[in-house]
Amino acid sequence: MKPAPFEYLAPNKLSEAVSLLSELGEEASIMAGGQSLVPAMTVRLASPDTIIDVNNIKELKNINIDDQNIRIGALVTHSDVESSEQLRSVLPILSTIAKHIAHPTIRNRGTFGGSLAHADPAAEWPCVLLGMNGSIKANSVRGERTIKAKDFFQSLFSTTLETDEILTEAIIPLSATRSSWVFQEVSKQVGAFGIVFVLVGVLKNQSGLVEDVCAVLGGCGDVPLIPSVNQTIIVGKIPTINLVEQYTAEIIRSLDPPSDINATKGNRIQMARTLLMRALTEALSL
Amino acid sequence: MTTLNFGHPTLRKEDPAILRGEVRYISDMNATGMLFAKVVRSTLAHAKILSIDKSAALNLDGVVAVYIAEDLGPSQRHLASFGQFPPPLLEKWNPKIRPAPVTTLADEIVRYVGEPVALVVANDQYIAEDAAELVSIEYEPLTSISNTVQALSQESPSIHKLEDSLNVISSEPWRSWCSSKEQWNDKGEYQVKWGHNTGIDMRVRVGETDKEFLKANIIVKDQYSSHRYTGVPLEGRGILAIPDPDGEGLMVWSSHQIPYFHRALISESIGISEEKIRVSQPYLGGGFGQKAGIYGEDVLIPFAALKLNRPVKWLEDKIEHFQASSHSREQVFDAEMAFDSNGKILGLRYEVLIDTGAHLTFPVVLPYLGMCHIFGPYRISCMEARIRSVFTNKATAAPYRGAGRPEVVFMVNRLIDHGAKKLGIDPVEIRRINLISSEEMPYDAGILYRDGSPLILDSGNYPEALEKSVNAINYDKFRIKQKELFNVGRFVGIGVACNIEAGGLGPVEGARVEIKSSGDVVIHLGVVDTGQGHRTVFAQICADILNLDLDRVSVRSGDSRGVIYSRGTYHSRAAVLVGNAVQSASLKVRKKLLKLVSHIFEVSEEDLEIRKGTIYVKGAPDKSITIDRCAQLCVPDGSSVAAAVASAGAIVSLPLGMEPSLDETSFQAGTSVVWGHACHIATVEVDPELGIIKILNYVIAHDCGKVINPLIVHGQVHGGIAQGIGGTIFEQLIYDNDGQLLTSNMADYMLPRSTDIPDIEIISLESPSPNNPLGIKGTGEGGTIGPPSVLAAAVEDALESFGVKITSTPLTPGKIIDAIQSAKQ
Repeated sequence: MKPAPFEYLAPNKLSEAVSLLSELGEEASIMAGGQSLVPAMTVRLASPDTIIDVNNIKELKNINIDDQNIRIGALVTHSDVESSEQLRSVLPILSTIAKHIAHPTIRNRGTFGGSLAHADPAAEWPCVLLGMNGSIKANSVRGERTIKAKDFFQSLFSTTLETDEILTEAIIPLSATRSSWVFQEVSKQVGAFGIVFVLVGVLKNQSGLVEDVCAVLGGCGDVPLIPSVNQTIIVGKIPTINLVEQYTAEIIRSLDPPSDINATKGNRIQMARTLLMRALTEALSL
Repeated sequence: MTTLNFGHPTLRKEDPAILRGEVRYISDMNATGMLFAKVVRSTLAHAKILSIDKSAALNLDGVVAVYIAEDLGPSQRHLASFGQFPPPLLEKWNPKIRPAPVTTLADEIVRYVGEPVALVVANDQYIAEDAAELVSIEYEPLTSISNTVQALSQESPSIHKLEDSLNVISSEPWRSWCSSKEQWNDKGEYQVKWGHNTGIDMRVRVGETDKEFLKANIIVKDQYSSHRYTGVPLEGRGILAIPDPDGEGLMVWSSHQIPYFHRALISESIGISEEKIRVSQPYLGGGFGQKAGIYGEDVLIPFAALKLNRPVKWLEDKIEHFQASSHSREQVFDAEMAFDSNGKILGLRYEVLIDTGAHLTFPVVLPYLGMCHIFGPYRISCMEARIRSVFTNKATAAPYRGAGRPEVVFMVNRLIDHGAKKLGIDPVEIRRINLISSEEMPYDAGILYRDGSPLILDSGNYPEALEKSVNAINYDKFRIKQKELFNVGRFVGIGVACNIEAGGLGPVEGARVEIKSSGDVVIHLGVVDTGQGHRTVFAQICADILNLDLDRVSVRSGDSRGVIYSRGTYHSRAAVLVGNAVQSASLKVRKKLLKLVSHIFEVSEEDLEIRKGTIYVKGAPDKSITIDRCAQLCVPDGSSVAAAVASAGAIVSLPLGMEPSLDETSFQAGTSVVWGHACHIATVEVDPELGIIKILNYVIAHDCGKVINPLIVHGQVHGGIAQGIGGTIFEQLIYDNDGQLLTSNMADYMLPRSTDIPDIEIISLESPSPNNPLGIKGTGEGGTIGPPSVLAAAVEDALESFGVKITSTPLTPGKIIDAIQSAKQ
């Protein structure tokens, strides 16, 4: 590691951290797990003047479930999510998804909050937060606010977090646990960034009618996408393969994914179609 | 002689220390007063350097020096490289060669992103990095050439200075099928402005190809291409140069495969005698051919150390590795193969463009060495080729494990598969028809090998390799299973590919075997162990001859003081040449030892035997002497002699005329190379909707002659196949049109992981080479050669129902999806 010179601060309290950040503004970077920031500093793609390491702030490491929400502290690691009995009992899909994130050593350090704040379009948690209608909590010297996921991810590596704010918690409403979730990803190899991935959640009522359906796509744009398509194609109906195909086709029509070294736009469309079909079919038990 | 060690799967002697982290690599080594160097590299692919301002860097606290080309004096020069065409080849083929060697630092023009432009030397690595950012270089961008077709266009600028002579090469009938985009004049002559971005242009002909093609029942023709990828040793390149404290010369520690050549290069470039330079390698974390290359840093770091009279260390980081260490494999073949109605190959014609990047180093290797691997294991007696190496604004291409073999083997095996398909013959059957049989050995291919000597396949049973691997994979059963699975919507396929592998390139390697007065044996070598297990295999050979426990034999390799001359570790040559030299030197030492003991006991040498470090007189158990006593006898030291005498029970002196040492050196000269071979078979399952390949089974029948240590050979084969799989499916060096490398980190340049490598079943065949006393053949490149061919074949077979034809690598998800879609259209 040969970064440019930087100051290193490691406050013990959130109040200290936010006041440091308020003081230093854009010159400082918050460091959580450091799994994206440190490699970027190593090759000098990032050269922050000051690192505010928040790892000493214990209160950011908790997972809490109250009667409304699942609250995941910003410093909860991917491994914590993967192995948390508490989470697995209410929303086991989180553990499944965590396994798709890089490799065990990276999962041991990388954090839930860091991944959200970094807003890498190839990251899985932003998809989850968006698909499950979650939100994040942000703290600053000015106080605390909650930002809905749909208002949070702006573009590539960019969120609506202000420069003096720290993301402290991710909130997933317990209502999300009612749906059946399926996650599917295509990557060149185990542990590599996903080229395209989809998270699908469906809710069927007792008579087998689809009450709600949600499909989020990653790797198809600068941010995770929930294509706005006509939900009535499938909602309110007894699902069939045919309906799934129609619904998928609608979503695919709305996509305009990028081409890059991993896949062309055409490849991504094909992958998205396949993953959506497979995920919806599985989620609807067809 | 007993073979307690030779041929046994002995655990590697070096592993415990390596695994415990106790061995040293360059990055572990330090010296008092050591400085750190950082190379400032070109950020543009092709540009004129207008000015370099180093003042800001020099003003930074802790910076000791900043060097640019003009500061280097005579050390700024073209650096020689290995792999030149030997005279017999120049005479035979008259290749056009434009030497375009690497220079110490870029001078006037930069030719690829990552080319060294300046060197910063500072008190620590952080300051050196900071200062490198302060070196300000003003460029005038030139058109960047990103591929060979663009390079050959007359509108493209020349990457190296043009010679203006216009050569006219007369047209030839076989050329008419070429896809070449070049100019034909109105007389039907083919014009090439020689020198325009062409590094090598040569034609090779064996047999009367035109005649054979006229007899053909079918001809298959296509473009077959391999993509750019390279070796990624865990340890990058690195050098620590330490001026001799007595001011006499220089100690150079480097992560390099060719210490003696490196020493000569430093001597020539810096102007001090080779005898004042010692180049040595500690442990190496992989080499793979990249570290046999010659780079500016190889001269720059010793230069800076001498200039500043302080130790200087430089370590490559991964981005530098991807940008500026040599690349390989980017070759495009326009090829056609003729068959008779039975599937017998009648002839092969092709034209290849090798993307050699910014410079031409190792001119003979990628173009010619690779080509030689067409002449086996299949009987291809007629061949005509035009081979060109073409300059582009990318990192220099040089040999990477396989060194031109995988590309050519891919073309040949794909052509055979496509011929088989057209003829309706099974891919295994067509190989049965065309493999050279063991009765034909030694088989003279009728061409000169890369070293200028006749290419003669010395031994081996190629059909046996095919049959054994076909049986091991249960070929016929697989075909039945394949149909069953297809019926339930699953796409599995099988591929087979055979190849030969030249190893043991000359001219010579040496070994010095010395029995110390402790009775322990030290083997001194010039070659470098880049991970092959030299410390074990060479000890195994020696331990058998001296009948000593293996742990009493140690190997010191990779030192320019090891023997008087050495070439280095490449072309699968160490076991072949050094192995035999170790045997020969050990036998000499043994002979002397027995002579000494026969003198002591006054018995003939035939009456002596060596067991576990002691020499006994047969039938007289009380008459024995240990090896250490013998060694002590050779030391002119009274007490030792007395001890020896006491033990021997007799008063002795050395035999008249015997020198007081048990220390012998031998050299093994290769008459020519030795030929190993392999048959690879793989089965895969493809998810056609996502383009994902899963390798189900991998079998290789492999023959590298007599095996010193099967465990190590298996490791070599496994590692090679893993690299081959990586190169075929995951690894790719991608440049954009401006010559910027888009895959310069480990997230974008994906190496294969354990989860990507199937269990590999190895069938060991052993046909001893008649060309050296131990019967050894090379095995270093082996595994890497087959995977591109065999995986392409297996994937194509799995996707047979779509009509997919695979003619290029890598087999990425996007590539598979596109191939299916274009087959549908």
